[in-house]
Amino acid sequence: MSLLKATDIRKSFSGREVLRGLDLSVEEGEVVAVIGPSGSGKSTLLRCLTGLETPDSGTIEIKGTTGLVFQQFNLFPHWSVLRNLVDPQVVVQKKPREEAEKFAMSLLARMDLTEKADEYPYQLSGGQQQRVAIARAMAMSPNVLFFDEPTSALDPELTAEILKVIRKLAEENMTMVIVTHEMGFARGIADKVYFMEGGVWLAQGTPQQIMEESGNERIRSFMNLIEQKE
Amino acid sequence: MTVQTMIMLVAKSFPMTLAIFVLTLLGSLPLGLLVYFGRASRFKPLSKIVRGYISIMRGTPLILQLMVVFYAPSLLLHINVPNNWRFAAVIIAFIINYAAYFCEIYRGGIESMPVGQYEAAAVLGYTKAQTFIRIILPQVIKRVLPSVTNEVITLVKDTSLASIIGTVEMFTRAKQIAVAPHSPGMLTFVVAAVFYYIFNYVMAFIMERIEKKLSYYR
Amino acid sequence: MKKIIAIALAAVMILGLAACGSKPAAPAAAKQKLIVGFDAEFPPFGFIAEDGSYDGFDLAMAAKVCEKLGWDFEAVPIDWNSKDAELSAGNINCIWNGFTYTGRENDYTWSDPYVDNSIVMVVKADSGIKSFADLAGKTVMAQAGSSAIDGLAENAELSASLKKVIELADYNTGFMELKQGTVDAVAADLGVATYQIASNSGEYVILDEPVSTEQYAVGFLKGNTELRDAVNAALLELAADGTMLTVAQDYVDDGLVIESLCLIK
Repeated sequence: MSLLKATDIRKSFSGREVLRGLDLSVEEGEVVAVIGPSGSGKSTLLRCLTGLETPDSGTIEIKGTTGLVFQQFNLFPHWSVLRNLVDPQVVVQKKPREEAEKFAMSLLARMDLTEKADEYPYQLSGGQQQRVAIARAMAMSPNVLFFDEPTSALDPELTAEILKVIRKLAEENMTMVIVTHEMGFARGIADKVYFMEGGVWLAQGTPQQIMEESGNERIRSFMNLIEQKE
Repeated sequence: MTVQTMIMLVAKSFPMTLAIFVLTLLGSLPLGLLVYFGRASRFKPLSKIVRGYISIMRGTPLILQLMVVFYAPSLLLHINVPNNWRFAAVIIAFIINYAAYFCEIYRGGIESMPVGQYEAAAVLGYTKAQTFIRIILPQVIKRVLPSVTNEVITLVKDTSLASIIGTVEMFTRAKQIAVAPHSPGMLTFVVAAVFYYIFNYVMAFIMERIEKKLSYYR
Repeated sequence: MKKIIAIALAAVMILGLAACGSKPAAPAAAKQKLIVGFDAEFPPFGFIAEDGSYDGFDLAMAAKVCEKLGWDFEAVPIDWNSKDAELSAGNINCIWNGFTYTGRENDYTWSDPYVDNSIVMVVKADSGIKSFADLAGKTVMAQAGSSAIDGLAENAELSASLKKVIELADYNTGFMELKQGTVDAVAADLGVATYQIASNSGEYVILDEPVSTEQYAVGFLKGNTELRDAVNAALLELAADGTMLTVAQDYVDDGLVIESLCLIK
């Protein structure tokens, strides 16, 4: 059975239907990219899957826990980098502090942030902050990790460092669902790509199928637009 | 009456001013937070009542509220008040008045918190109470500190209103001394002003220290 | 739900505070007590002494009355504007502090008047004001809620000629204004006026003509004749046996006019 299985998800905001019957299934170790024009409902879907919103109808089954990396990082500014990673483990998961700190330091090492452990978020660059946010999500040992446009708030040179980290996680077989505008990245990393428009999937399949073989006019024009920007 | 005697008499009335000040803060700072919860409640009747309370507290003079709290039990409800009711009434009136102002200050601070902080906490699995106590409140305190400092300084000066119900704090005492036979007169007010100023100076210094302490992050 | 609990807690806190303030009331059978409400900014009748205690001719007489009757005595400084509320609420059981009887005859239950006082007009000695006629178009200060206000109201001819009557909370600020020239005259009780003139030698004078004449007495809650009778009898005895005069002599220095004490004339 799939690690994540969502069926016929529907969600309206003040009468406007944003998600109009979406299905999504993610296998363990799979990397899924969700693309599509802005306002198509991608973020709303992630928010439903992570429990920040409750869908109006449909079912969501997830084996295990989820983590979410935000576009705006959302680190806790009054805590040091280390405490951002340790506090949720100690308070939510009731882990012994020592164990939590050890795990946090190992995650920071993987993110190349060991020497930033005692600094505060405002002292870090955007890219560093987003890496801390990824480490914080990882600290809860989620079974599936969601990314909501993780590089949209970053300068191009900082984007690369985040993409590198996500790629590394993919190599470690982390199950991930990534909402992104980075087409080339989605093509390179995703096992499956879903293209959303108007709250439904316009197309889904392997990156090749979506990006190169799709006969859909809308997808082609969206791709062209994005590739021009890149 | 010598100037030294006059200064001593003014100084001896300072503890009353200090007591009103300290007890009011001890009561109204936490009560303001509870009032905020009531105001923000999704249970409409409660929220409406709390809004009415805040509106009355901010829309009528504190001096009038002091009189209502002091006289209403005996004159309207015919309750025999204890003989230390005079002081209790001062403290209650000050606390419920200042709690209304602190509630609005907290509200400003809490509503200015980015929604992302709540969402990040929710996704990590913090309960609502944990989110508020560990993540929101510490940041709100930093945000509202300048406004709280303003209220604290205002409170030092407001303590003199307690005289309307016969509480002899520093300003009332100064007025008594100034008209007492053979007193130094006007000089008494200068001395009282110096006391108030030093007190406010110390409070401003303490608040500044707390602000500095919280400036370790942005 | 949590928020409801929070509010309940708030309510409990307020009640708790109120409860902390309450101690069991004294047993009813205790010694009778005279609780005198007075204005501590009204020398020589009530003021603060050098040692920080409250003093004054009226308080001293009240203490003598209690001594004679074997009662407990308590003096409560009140805000003069709140005197009726304090009396009605039972926080005090009499008002004894240069309290004007004239004009308030039916508002309280009264003792016999013990001071014959007049409302007089005080002006700067160098002002050139010699009579009420000179006050036409001038500004006069009187204490808010005081008998001087009533006196001015009674003297319609004088009031009409004035530019304005400024009501201030106490006479000290009134005399400060007189000194700096923001008011031209102060309408005050004879005792207050005599005291101010004595402590600012040569600066002020009293106009010959009184604004009104009036008497001081001890005021009790209307209908409380039992308390009034006991206090009044004791007061008359103290006047007759010379105690009142002895006490009064201690306060001459503070501005008391012995001649105004009508019970010992």
